[in-house]
Parts: sequence; C-alpha cells; structure tokens
Amino acid sequence: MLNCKDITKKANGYLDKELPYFTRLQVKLHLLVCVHCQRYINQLRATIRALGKLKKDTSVSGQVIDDIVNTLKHARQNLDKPEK
Amino acid sequence: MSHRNLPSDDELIPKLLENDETAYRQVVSAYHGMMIYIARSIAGDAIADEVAQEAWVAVLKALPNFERRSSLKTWIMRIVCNTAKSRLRHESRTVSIEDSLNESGDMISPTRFDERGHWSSPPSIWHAETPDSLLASTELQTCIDRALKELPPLQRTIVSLRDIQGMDMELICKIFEVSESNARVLLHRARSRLREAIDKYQRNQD
Repeated sequence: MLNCKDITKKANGYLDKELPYFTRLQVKLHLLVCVHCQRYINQLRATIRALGKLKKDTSVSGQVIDDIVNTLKHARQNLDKPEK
Repeated sequence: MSHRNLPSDDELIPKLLENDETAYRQVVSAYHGMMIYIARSIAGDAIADEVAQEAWVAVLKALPNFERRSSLKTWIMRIVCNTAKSRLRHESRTVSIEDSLNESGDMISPTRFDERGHWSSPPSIWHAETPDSLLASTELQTCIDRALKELPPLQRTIVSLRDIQGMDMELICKIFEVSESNARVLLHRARSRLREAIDKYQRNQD
C-alpha cells in the first residue's frame, strides 16, 4: 500500500499517465481514501494546466527576420573571403 | 511556430548550402522565435537575442558538416541550446545535466510527512484552485513568473518547453541530449517547485 509520501513522488507520472497499470491502480486506491493527497494532485494538475495557458506566440516580425538574414549574409561573405 | 509550409529537410538543406536567401528566410522565419524562447529560458532575457544570432552564425558555419543524424530543426535547436549553455558557463553558472540532477531532489520537504510517510503538514486549501483562477490574479501570475525565473536553467527550460509551449518530450530530449528519464526528473522537480511557490503565496494570503 502506498503512503502519502509515495503518492507525491508518483504524482507527476500519474498525471502524465505514465505509470504502469498496477501502480496507477495503487495511486487511485490511495486517492479514494486520502483527501490530502487528492488536494495535492488537484493542485499539481491546476499548476500544470495554468502553465499551459501561458503559451507564448513565438512568431517573429519581418524586420527581425530581415536582420538575421542580413547578419547571415555578412557572415557568409566573411567566411568566403580568402585568408591572407 | 510558423513552419507548417516549410519545405522538407531534403529540399531545404541543399538550398541552404547554396546560400539561397529564400531558404534562409524560410528557416529563420520558422525557427527564430523558438530559438529566442530557448535562449531566454536558459540564459535569460538580456542576452537571448545575441545568443540566437550567434547560434545562426554557428548553424551557417557547421551546415556543410551536418550529418543529418537528426532533423534540421532538432539540430538547429541543439545549437542554440549549446550556445546558450556555453554563454552561461562563461559566467560560471550551472548548466550541466549532471549538476542539475544533483540539485536537491525532494519534491516536497521530508518534514511534511510523519515516520509512516503520511502527511503531518498536509497541503493547504487554495483560494484559487482552477487554472483560470490561478491566472486571474495578477499577483499570483507574478508569483508564477517569479518562481519560473528562480528555477535552475535546465528545469526552467524543460518545463517551459513541455508544459507552456507543449513541445514533444522526445524532441526536448533530443535538443538537450538527455535521456527521457533525466528530462522527466527535471520536469517533475520544476512542476513541484512551481506548485510549492503557488502554495506559499496562497498560505500567505490567509
């Protein structure tokens, strides 16, 4: 039988559905009878879901793209210069 | 990432090797944003742009030797990751996976449990307990942002890519050249620290 400390160690695996079947069942059984661990799991789940809502748009402006492409052009020209 | 219309690596790589500007524009447009994001997570806001730019030049130089053991995207992201890590090393800050794994590993302080492993100091009741309510409070959002910034660089980067940006765990492992089990250890520690930070904030509101 898993204790509460074990549950906190397996909480992420449980939420990510990565635990083996029997371990998952043991966690579920513990959660049926332990309100503190239920709270812990719910809080961890809420934390992970809140993070998912912070997703940032990583697209960049045309100006930034131009700047990088120009930097690369210059770098290319320097690489192509014959060594003296 | 805006790379849905990006040609395949087979098409792109020869064009990049020929210095085709359109091809460069396509890859920069598809990957630069994510590179900045990774650079920022590892090395911080101040030098993220510089790191990404340095990484592009490294990509340009190394491309003729690219052996295609991974996709172009993974290879480019690995270069930005290594560039950011090397910048941090210059500042003597911890970035190796070994150091990150050796950092204190307890998800929760052992003093919160009794000798039988049951809670002696159980989790407090949160006033805000849904993801939306957690983010509705500006102060709580600031608390989450601060907790993210205070995480060790690799933990911060992995939790940001996985839980915030929704990146595939397999790709994260390839970029950071870590095993899936090590990546998970870092992810789990990061999440637990973030939960603890929210918990502390909510307890202080009582």
